[in-house]
Amino acid sequence: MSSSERLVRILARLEMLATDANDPARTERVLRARAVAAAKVRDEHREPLERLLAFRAAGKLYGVPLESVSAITLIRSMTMLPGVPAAFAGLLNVRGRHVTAIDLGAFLEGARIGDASKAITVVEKDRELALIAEELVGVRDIFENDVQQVVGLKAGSVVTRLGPDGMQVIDPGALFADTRLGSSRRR
Amino acid sequence: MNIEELKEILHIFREEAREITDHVTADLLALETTAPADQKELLENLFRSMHTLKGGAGSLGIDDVAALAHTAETLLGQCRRGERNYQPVFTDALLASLDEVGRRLDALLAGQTESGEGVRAAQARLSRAIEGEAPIAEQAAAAANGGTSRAAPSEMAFLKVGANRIESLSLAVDEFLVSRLRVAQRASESTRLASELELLARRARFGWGEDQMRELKRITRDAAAIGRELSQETQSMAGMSEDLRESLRGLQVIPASAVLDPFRRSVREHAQTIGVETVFDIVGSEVTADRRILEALRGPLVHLLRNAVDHGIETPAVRKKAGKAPRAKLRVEVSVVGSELKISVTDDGRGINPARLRQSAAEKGLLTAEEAARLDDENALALIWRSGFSTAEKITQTSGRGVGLDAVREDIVKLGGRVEVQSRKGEGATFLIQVPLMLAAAVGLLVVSAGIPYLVPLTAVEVVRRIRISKLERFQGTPVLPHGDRQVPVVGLAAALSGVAMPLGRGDENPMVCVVGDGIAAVALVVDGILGEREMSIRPLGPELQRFEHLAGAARTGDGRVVLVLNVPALIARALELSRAGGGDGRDARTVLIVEDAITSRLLYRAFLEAAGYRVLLSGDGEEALELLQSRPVDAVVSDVRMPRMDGLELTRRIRRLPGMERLPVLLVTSLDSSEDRAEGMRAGATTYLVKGETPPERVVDVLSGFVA
Repeated sequence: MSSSERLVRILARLEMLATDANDPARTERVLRARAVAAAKVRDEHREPLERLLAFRAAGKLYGVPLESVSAITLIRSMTMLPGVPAAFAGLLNVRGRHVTAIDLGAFLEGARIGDASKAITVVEKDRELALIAEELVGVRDIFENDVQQVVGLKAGSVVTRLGPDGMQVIDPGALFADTRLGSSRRR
Repeated sequence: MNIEELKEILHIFREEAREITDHVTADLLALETTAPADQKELLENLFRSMHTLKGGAGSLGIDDVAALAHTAETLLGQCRRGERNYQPVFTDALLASLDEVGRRLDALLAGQTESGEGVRAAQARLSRAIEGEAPIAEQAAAAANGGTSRAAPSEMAFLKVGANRIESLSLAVDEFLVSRLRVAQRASESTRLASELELLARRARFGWGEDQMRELKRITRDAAAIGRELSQETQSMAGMSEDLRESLRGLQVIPASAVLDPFRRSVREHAQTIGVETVFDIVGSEVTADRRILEALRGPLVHLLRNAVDHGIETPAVRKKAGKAPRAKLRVEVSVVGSELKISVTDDGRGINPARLRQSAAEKGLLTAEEAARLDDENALALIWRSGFSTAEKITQTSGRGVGLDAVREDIVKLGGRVEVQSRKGEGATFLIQVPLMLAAAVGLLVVSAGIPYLVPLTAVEVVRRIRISKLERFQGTPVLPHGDRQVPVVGLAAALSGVAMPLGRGDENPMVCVVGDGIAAVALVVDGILGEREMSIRPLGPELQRFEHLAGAARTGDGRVVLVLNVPALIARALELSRAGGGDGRDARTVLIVEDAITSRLLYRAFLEAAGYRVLLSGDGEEALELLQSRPVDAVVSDVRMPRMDGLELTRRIRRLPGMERLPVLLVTSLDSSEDRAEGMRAGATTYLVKGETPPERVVDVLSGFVA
C-alpha cells in the first residue's frame, strides 16, 4: 500500500471517529468520499483505457473518443439546411471543407440544441461530421471501471456506454453507420 | 511594328520557349535511360526543338540566345547523325543553357536591360562540354544544318491563349446568360401585353368603330406573335448558352504533362543532391483534366515526390545490400476512372515502417504507448496524415519537418478528393490520389429566402420579375402567374424548401419571383431578393445529405460562407406538391404563441415570425399564456423566462402537464445565460433553450422551423 493510500485511509478513519455513527446519511457520504479519494490515488498509477473529449449538447453530457476528433472549431457562421430533419443542424466550413453539422440533441433525444457555439469534427475513413456543442467540458481520461455498458439497446446504437457523471459515450463507428446519416436513399 | 505588338510576340515566344524547355528536359532525361541504339528518335526531337528555338530567337533579334541554340543544335545534329556519341555531361550543360534562356527572356519581358552574360556563359559551358568529348570523325561539319530543317508538322493546329483570356471569355458567356434572362423577361412582358390588349378589345367593342376594332385586334395579334417569337428565341438561346458553357469547359482542360513534366528534372536534380539514384517515370501524362485541379495538385505532388526521394529511396549501397537494383524506381501514373482522375506516386524504396510510426506517435505524445501498441499496421499507417507527425530522421528543405502530409491531404480533400497510402516495409510505398476530373462550376442566380442565400442554376431560370400579390389570379385556390402561354403556380421558395405553407411575399406586396423550369414543369418561386449572377465551384454534399434531393450541392463564397445549390427539378416537384395541397400561400400557416413581458421583444419576435409565414398570438406572462393555450390551437411556444405572475420555467412545467402538450415545441428565449439556468430550463421541459444576444431573432425563427416543419 502506498503512503498516499495509507494517508487517505487514516483521514477517513479520523473523520469516522468525528462523525456521529448513528447518522447513516453522513456515514454514507464519508464512505463515498473515501472511495472516490482511493480511486483517485489508484488512477494515478493506471493508464487510461481511452481518452474522451467531453462536451455538452442539449443539456446532456457526451463524450467522443479523442482519436476520432479531427477539428474543434468555433461556429462563426452555419448555413441552415431547409427541408431536412432537425438533426441536420446545418453546413459548416471546416478548414475549407463543407461538413454537415449534427445536432445530437435532436438526433438522439428529440430536443434541439439551443445555441451551439462549438463544433467537434469527427472523422471516420473518408467521412466527416461536425457535432455541435453548447459547451466543451474538456478531455477526460477513462479507466476500466469508469464506463458501463448500456444493456438492452438496439443493434447499431450510437451510445452504448455511460461514463462518469452520466456521460454518454458516442461510438463514432456506429454514428457514421447509422442509417439516418447514411446514403441508402441516395439519388 | 509598334512596341506593344513586339511585346505580344515576345510573350508568345516566351511561352514557346517554355514549352520547348519542357520537351527538351523530358527528352534529355529519357536519353539517360535509353540504350544508345534506341536514342535516334529522341535526338531527332531534341535537334528540332533547338532549331525552333534558334529560329524564334533569331527572328526577334535575340542573338545571344540564337547563338546558344545554334551550338546546341550543332551538337545534337552530330549525335543524331552518329558523328558523336551522346554523353551524360551534355545533359547538365544543355539544361543549364535552357535555364539561362528562360531567365534572359523573362528579363526582356520585364523590360530589364540585360547583357546576356548568363546566356554567353552557358554557351561557353556547353562548348567546353563538347570540346571535352571529341567527335567520332574529325571531319564532322561544324554547322550541320544551317536553318533549313523544319519543325515536325503537328497533326492539329494549336493556338496559344492565355488563361486570362479564357476567364474573359467565361465572363462574356455569363453576360450572354444574363442577356438571355432579360430577353425571357421581355417575352413574358409581351405576352402579358397581348393579354391586356385582348381584354381591352373585349371591353371596348361597344364604344369603338369597326375600323378601330379591327386595328386593335391586329395590334393584339401582333403583340401575341412577338411574345411567342421571343419565347422561341429564348429557348434557342438557352440551348446556345449551354453549348457555350460546354465549349468553355473544354478550354479549361489541359494535359497532365503540363504539371508533371517539370518534375522529371526536379526529381533528378534533387536525387543527385542527396546522393540517391532514381529512374523516374511518368505514365499517362497525356490524360487531360481541369487546369485548376491539376494546378492545385502541383503542391501535393511536389511534396510526395520530395518525400519519396528524401525518405523513401535508399542510397545505392543500401539498396545493393538489400538485393535491390542500385537505381530506385519512382513512378507517377495518371489515369481516368469514371469522372475521377487517379494519380499514384510509387517508389520501391524502404517503405513506411508501422513499428516506427507507433514509436514516433508515442514519443510525440500523440498516443499513449499502450494505444500505439494496440494499433494494427493499417491504422498505424494512417498516423502519417496527422498534423505534426513525422518519422523522418533527417530534415530537408521541404520534408521531414513534421508538417506536410496533413497539408497534402487537406489540399486534396479541398478539391473534393481523397488520398490513401499503401506500403510494405522494405518494398516501397504508393500514394493514391483521387480527385474529380473537372472542378464542377455552375453559373447561378444567387437568391435570398428567409435571410439565407441559395444558388439557383441559371440554366433553369426562365424569368425573373416582380409581381403584385393582390393581382395574382387563382386556379383551384392556388395563386398562378401567366408565363408565356401557360399559367404557373406561385410558391414561396422558403415554403417549397421547408414544405411548410407560408404567406406569399412575407409582407411584401411586390416581391421578386424567379420562374424556374425543368423542360416539363415550371413554378414561380417568390424570393426575398436577388443578389445577382455568380459562378461558383460546386462540391457535393456528404452522403448523409444526398437523399435530400432538393439540395444539389454546396459552394463557397469569397468570404468563406457556404451557399446551398438547389436542384431545380426536385424543387419544382416539392413546390407543385405544396401547391396541390393548397398550402402554397400559407393558408395553413402554423400558429406560434409568443410569451414575453417586454413589449419591444414581443413585437420584434412577432415581426420575424410573421415575416416567416407564421400566425402569431401574443401574451405578456405565463398565466395569460396558459389561458390562451387552453382556448386556441397553438403549434409552438416561444417564451421568455423572467416574467411577472408566472415565469417561463413554471409555464413550461405546466404546459408539459397539459393533455396533448407533452411534445409541444417550447422554446425558452432569455438573457439568462449560465449553464445552471440552461440546465434548469431543459429540466423544466423546454424543447430548447436559446440565449438572447447570442441567438438573434432570425435564428430563433430558423430553430423554430425545425420543430414545426
